Amino acid sequence: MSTPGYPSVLSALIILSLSLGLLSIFVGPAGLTVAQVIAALSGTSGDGDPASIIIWQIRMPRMLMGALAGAALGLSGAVLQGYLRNPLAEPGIIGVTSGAALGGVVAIHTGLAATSLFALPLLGLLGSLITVLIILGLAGFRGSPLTLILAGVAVTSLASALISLVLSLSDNPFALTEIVFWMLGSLQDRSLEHVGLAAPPILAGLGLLLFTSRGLDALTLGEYGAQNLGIGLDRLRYLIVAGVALAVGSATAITGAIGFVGLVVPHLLRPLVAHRPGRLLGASLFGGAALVLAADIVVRLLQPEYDIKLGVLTALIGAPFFFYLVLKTRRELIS
Amino acid sequence: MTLEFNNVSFSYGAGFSLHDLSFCLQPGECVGLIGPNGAGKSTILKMLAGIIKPSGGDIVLDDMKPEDLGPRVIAQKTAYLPQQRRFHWDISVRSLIELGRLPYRRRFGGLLPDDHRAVERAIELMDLKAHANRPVSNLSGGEQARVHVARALAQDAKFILADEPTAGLDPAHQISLMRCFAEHAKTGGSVLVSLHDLGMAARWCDRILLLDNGRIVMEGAPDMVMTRDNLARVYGIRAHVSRTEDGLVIATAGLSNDA
Amino acid sequence: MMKKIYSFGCTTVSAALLCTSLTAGSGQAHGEPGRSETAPRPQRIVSLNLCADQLLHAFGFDSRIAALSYLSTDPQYSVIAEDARKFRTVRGSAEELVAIQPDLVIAGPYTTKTTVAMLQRLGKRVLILPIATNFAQLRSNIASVGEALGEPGRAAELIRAFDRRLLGLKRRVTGKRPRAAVYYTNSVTQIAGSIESEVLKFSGYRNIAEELRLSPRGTLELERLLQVVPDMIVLGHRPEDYKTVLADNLRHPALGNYLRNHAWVAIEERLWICGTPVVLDAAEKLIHAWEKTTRGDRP
Repeated sequence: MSTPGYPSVLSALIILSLSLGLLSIFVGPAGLTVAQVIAALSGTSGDGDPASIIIWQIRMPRMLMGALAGAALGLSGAVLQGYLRNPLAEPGIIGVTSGAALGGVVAIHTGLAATSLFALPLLGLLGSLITVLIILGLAGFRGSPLTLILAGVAVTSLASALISLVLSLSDNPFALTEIVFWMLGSLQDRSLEHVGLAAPPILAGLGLLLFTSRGLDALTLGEYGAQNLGIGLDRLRYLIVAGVALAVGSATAITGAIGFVGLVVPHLLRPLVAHRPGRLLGASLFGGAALVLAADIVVRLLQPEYDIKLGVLTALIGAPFFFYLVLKTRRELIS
Repeated sequence: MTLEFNNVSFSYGAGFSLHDLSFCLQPGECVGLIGPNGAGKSTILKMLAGIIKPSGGDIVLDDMKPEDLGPRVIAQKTAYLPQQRRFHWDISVRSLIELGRLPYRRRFGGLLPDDHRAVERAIELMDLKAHANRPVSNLSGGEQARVHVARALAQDAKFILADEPTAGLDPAHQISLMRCFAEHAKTGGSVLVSLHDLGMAARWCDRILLLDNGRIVMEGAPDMVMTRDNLARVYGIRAHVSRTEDGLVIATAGLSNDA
Repeated sequence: MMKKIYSFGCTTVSAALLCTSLTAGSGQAHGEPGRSETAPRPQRIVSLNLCADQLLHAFGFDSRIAALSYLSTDPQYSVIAEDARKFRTVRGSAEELVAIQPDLVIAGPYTTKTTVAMLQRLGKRVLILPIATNFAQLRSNIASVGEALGEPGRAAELIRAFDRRLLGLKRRVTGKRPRAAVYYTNSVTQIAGSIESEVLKFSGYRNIAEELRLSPRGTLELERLLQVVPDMIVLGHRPEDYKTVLADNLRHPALGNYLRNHAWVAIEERLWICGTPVVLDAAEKLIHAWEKTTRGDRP
């Protein structure tokens, strides 16, 4: 076949995300020179040197958090699309990120986040868990793409309304600005502490989701076909619910809701893996990381003149894809 | 080496139920499941494939209860061809047929030589060599149906459970499919196939289960079960049944109340 | 609800906005507007603006205050928070004001605009107080309030006291001109044309934000803050004062580590968010912080 082999696709994506990760270390409003960055990276500049602090304590955690969040969103998108056999399924569109953001908002504004470090990722996880369950309950397995999107719209609006409500009740002067953070997502000032909090649950979630590849492959034949191939659909469902909640929930509690990554990445990569849902997983994991890293690099190139939120960029890239996919699946949507 | 139904019953809502079904699928036989729409053919096949559970009675697969075997072992022993034949992603014909090897594969492991052999054999049997690397969406409906059968054949299961597999196939491919099932039976496997084409059932099946309204009304050799009277009673049709040198030939003439 | 607090700090207001729109009250429909000697001394005064609250309060005529703005009781932003609880507070809706029947309303130039327009239509006396972004405007605001209250003498007294203290502080300022950066929640800093910038300069500092190219919102990203290595970092409220994810810039370990080895001072935002004589408390702290730093003490 004319498509490249899976190992070369996967290694290309790994190299791409690693290079973008490295590049993002060189970019930032402080405008450090290449020489300064290299000196800081190689440890030849002093400990108290501003460049060294900027690289290791500000840009490095920001890069790591971006890569983790991107991987979580890309992989979750690929898994949800494979499971629901619907190219429009995406953590943002079906409301999982909004649920997670609501969890994050509640953690911070009830003061729980200040009491216990783990409250933030935990409530994000809980928020996404509840939304995933609502979505699967409402639109579930046999739902048409239309039901899924309607359910997603309802859940997203409800979660957004609750976010605004919590922020308004908190009577804090930053409420409006904070809503923007949660709705559009940002990697601004994410620290190594954040990475430490979010990385274990995100990695656990990614691990669970990678175990779904056989089941998703088998689902190409529909539910009965998959069951006949020895796939336990209940077990698959638990894996997906837990994996998406862990990965998207903990990432979103730290970065806010970054949209469309889970839609665009699997869509772009599907032809490269010959449309095989199982192989799409590894590819979307690295593809998601690469997309978020690239978007954050653009965000920082525009600073300080423009303060563009990460989610604005991903939406600018993602929304046209969404329109295109809606057009493509229109017949199915109407029926 | 049998697949048995012992006093199995099943009910779905208020309208539909199966009552006290018992039969046994022996090695070396191709059994035809016939009966009007809603008689319970698909439900029986789904229960045998382990997709739905009976509400009473037992299914016994090789002297074991399916619950004790686990889904993977069941998948190695029974290949099921659902009536709904949709491909949800546009993967290649070969990748699709390779799915039949999932019950044998280790997690994250690649295909082994055994797997490749089974896949190539299935491609050959279903006459798909020319299409093996094409995306399934490029294929005609009949070709897609053969891809499904090839997937089931690649599964290398003793018991093949097929729900109207000939629907949508041209006569030549219908015959080669039924011949393939007969071949499978001859080599020690068993096939249970639901059919609406009574002629096909009569010609290729060793035994017929005639179903009506959730019950097995008759069971036996085709010429014993598929009589004019039985077909009139169960289907409400007038049929010409004649014995030829090619076997039983059944032609439908009209509805029984036409006369 | 967003309290429009940062608009005070970040906006340059031209002197043209000094529009004392004193409309004639009921008793003197044809009198010359704004002439204190002809206007009666108002007895039911309402302030709709945090800065006006504090100026009005400084005059010391508690019995003549009918209501202050709801922000006046917020300890983060008001130096009179404790005392303000004695008064009725209003959010600035037209409805509240009609019920109170004030004879003088003092408002800011940007907020509660519709209420102000309605009051003016009803012929109420309204004083719109410009935002004081420098000491000259600060003095002029005291004078306008004094005039509207019919207490120009008290206004002059307040201005004299302010200038006396200003002079005293000026003697302590050295000529070194250290570089200072204001760093608030959500990376907000104070750019040129704010009272904070004026106070910084008076206290002997150069405001780094005036030298850097900043976004129009006036934000200074953490990595730029650390890169420019200011001689003094001026912080506002602590991250735990408000539960918001936007205070994560203040919780960032990179900032925490940096502050352990560099000079910084915390100036409560209520001291200098408004152009009132209290800004000299902020100036005193800033001067003191530099004195300590040059003596070699760590903050």
